[in-house]
Amino acid sequence: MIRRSFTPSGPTKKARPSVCRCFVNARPSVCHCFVRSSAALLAGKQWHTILKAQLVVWVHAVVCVLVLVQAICARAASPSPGQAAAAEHQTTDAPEARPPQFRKGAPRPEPKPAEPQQAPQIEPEESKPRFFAVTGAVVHTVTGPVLHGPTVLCKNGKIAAIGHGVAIPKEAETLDAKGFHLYPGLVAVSSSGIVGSEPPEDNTDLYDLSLTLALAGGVTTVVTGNTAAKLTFGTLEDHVVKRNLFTTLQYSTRNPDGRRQFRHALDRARQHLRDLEAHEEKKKLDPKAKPPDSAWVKGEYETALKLLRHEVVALADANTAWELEDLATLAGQYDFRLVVRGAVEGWVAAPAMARAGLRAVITPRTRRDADERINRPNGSSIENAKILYDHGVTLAIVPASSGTSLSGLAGRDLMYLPMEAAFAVRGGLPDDVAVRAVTIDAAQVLGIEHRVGSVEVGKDADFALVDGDLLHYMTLVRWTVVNGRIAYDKEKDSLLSHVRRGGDQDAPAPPDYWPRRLGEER
Amino acid sequence: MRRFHHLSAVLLLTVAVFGGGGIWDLGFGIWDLESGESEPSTLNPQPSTLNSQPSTLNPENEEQEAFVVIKAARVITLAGPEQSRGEIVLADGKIRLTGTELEYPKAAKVIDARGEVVMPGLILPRTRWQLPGYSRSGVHGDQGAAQEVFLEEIDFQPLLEAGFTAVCFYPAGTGISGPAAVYRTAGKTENRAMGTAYLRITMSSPGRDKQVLRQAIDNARKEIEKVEQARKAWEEKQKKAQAEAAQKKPAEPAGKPEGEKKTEPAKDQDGRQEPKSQIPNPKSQIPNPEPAPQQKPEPEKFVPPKIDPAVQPLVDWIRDKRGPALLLELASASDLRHLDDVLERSPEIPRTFFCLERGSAADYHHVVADLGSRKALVLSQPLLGTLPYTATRYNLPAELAAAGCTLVLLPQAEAASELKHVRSRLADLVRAGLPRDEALKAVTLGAAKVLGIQDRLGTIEKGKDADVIFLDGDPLAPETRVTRVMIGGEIVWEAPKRP
Repeated sequence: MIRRSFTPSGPTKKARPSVCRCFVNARPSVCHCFVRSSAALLAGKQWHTILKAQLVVWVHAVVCVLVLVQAICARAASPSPGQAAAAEHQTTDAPEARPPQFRKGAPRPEPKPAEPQQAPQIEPEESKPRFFAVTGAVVHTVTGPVLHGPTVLCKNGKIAAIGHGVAIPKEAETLDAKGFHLYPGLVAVSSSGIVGSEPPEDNTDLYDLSLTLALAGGVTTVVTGNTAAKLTFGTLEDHVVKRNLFTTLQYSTRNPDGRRQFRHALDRARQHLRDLEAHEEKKKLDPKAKPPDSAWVKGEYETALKLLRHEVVALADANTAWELEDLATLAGQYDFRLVVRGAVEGWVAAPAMARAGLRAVITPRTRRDADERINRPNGSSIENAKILYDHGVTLAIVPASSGTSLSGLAGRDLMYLPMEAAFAVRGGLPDDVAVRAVTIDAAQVLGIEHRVGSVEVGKDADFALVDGDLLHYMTLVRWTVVNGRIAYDKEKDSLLSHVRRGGDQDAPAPPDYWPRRLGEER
Repeated sequence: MRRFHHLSAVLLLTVAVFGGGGIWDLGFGIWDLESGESEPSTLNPQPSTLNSQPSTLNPENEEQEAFVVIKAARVITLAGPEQSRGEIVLADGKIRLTGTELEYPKAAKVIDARGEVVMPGLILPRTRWQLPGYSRSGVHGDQGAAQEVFLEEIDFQPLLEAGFTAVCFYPAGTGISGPAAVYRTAGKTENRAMGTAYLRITMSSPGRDKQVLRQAIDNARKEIEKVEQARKAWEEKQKKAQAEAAQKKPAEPAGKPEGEKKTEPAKDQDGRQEPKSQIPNPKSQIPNPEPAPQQKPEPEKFVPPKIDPAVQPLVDWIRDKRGPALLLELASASDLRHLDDVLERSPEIPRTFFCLERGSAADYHHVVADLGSRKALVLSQPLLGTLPYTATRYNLPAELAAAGCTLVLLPQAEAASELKHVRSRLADLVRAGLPRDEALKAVTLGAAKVLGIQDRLGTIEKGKDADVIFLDGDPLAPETRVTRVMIGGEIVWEAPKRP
């Protein structure tokens, strides 16, 4: 019986899995041993047997304590499956409990209670982005496809996103334009009296009637003097688009001296460019080679050099075929960029103009009778725009009068820019090209096509939201947006708010019916 | 003169301290009165409080000080509710008490106005009344209207008849045409000038005025830079001199000159000059920016180079963040945007006082909310107009007041007939929605605010000047006319009796 107690029981081995089992296994052997040995002692057994039994008991006790301690430590290190799951749940919950400014997984910094209070103070108000969104409109991107009902999201006056799944920020000003057509804001290559004279940022009357009238015509960018400016109603922010658009050429047969002088300047500038090129080659062999003298490059020579380097664009007025061909020859010879204004007989000179890469600013409704004494085709043609386009000349269309006015003959000023383009369609110009001629192509003529002229991400948020096809005679502008701000709203302006859409007289009167009677409040 | 005052004060004090019973008594009497005045309970117009303190007006001084009591049918104080059967106690040209059933010395002179309404005198905050048609363009921060005004040449009778007790003459012209000057319309000559007021900055034609203002700000910055550089040069020189002195005499303490250096430049830092010492053409001074210390072997004091007096007000604002009030004159709504565009880079220059001139555009409705959010003080003409190209009536003054602006109204024109009609113009505005209180304050307290004299004029309140007008009815009633005008406690004008 006592011997049995000497057989090593496995409490130490089996204790590993759990502490409870350790106790369960230990109890029968060790306790039994202790009781037996004590009984043997009382019964007068041999002393060494008793000693052995007692030793076993104490060794067991020590082992048990050690196992217990180890088990407790192990439990603390690797918890039970349920506890582990609970702990895991806690870690996934932790980011929510954190302050929102820290991203998930990022190392959590020491909590600073004063920090969040200071943060909004440090951040200035102005740095808040200004969002504007147009939803539901038929978007004529001009440089891309026509999109039906996407969201056009603008940020700080620039187009940030176009698409159906675009999320609109909560703080965005949103314009629901369902049923309307969105075109890029129209570009008027020449204007008078819409914005102030140069510099426009010092002279523009930002609440002027002519500004509103031009906006009511869908125009968002105009030219004053030699500067392109936006019709930023009520603000000077981003008013000027580009300065020094053109250098004007005086190249006419009526001024043979000036003509010769200009050619001379171009010749000398071209020679100078060749000399510079040769000098670059020379420098490779002899680093100490003397560069060509450039002290004389100023005034007209400087202009000529810039023209040859394509740093500036030339502008010339020309209408007869002879003048146009003359200019085309010059531009072709010296390879500089030239825009011709007028080009009434462009349909005669189109091949030469196209070859020389000329761009033309035309007014399709201009009438000029043919001179019977001239033995070649001459005079104006309704097909002028079409023929120029067919030959590959980039066109910008401007109306006959470049201002806006509420008096005189309607339909020929800047309020009716699309009508001028529509007249070119009457002469055979494709619809989309006519729209291009008052948007992206006009912008290209001015060299600002990277900012305005089409609805593309990254470009300025200038839109004309109209209630039909842009080229239809009954179409009116509903809203005009400039730099992501509504600059004109037909319903809120007294000018055209009384005109029902599509001429529908049964349609209910708009809320701001005009003329208002005296004393009637809004 | 100032020195003399100091001297007399010191004399009085020594006499008061070291004996002289009579003077002591007099001094005590003044002291007693002043201490009584400073007690807030006497401000209270309720009769019970006044009865409990009958010693407020010292009976011993009754003979010495001439008290005047106005007993009016109604007093429009504009500092609180209107008081029917109100009384005003005046002494020494100042208002001592206002209220009803006041106690006052028996010897006081009583002005019986029991059939009249008393209100603060009207103030004309911007006028060229009878001044010659002279104007100057450009930047002239130092040459004001005071140079043009000769009081004896101006007929103030129509102004008094219209109820104006103070006028502010402005120097005509564009750009920065100089500080305006405030005068009383009557009274003792020595009391009439009330000092300079705002400095005009025009923005009526942005293409021209923006350029001028930009240039002026640039010049002011250059002047500041000039002074800074001169200071640096002077400091370096001082250091060198100190180092040399220390080498020569190492025992001498260096603390004293440093202390002087710190205090004295602070006094002279702004480089202000007395007007007398100004040289007409300051540009001749600029080529010699070197400070005077360079001439002396051991300078103790920093003498800043002279600042162009024409841009001195801008220098004050940009460098010291304080300066004369600036009245920014616009001719259309767009001009406000242009003004902001110029002053964007100079946030130190305040944009709080505006004058909306009646230009051809009349489109201020675009910027009313903006002006309101700035809590601006706005001078405007009391015209009822329509929105441009509509028949919608628009009460610009009422809209300005509703938006949160402090309103100041000008006569529509400077003709005598128009001045007389100022009150009926106000009545038109009130009928079209402007609060009555705002309308009355617009020609009194508001105008005083723009001139910086709201502590002296604008309301009937204790301590203010006794510049009041008497009317034979409500000020906004069309048939009411001014019967009497009081300036500095004296009746200076009386209407001829109606037949």
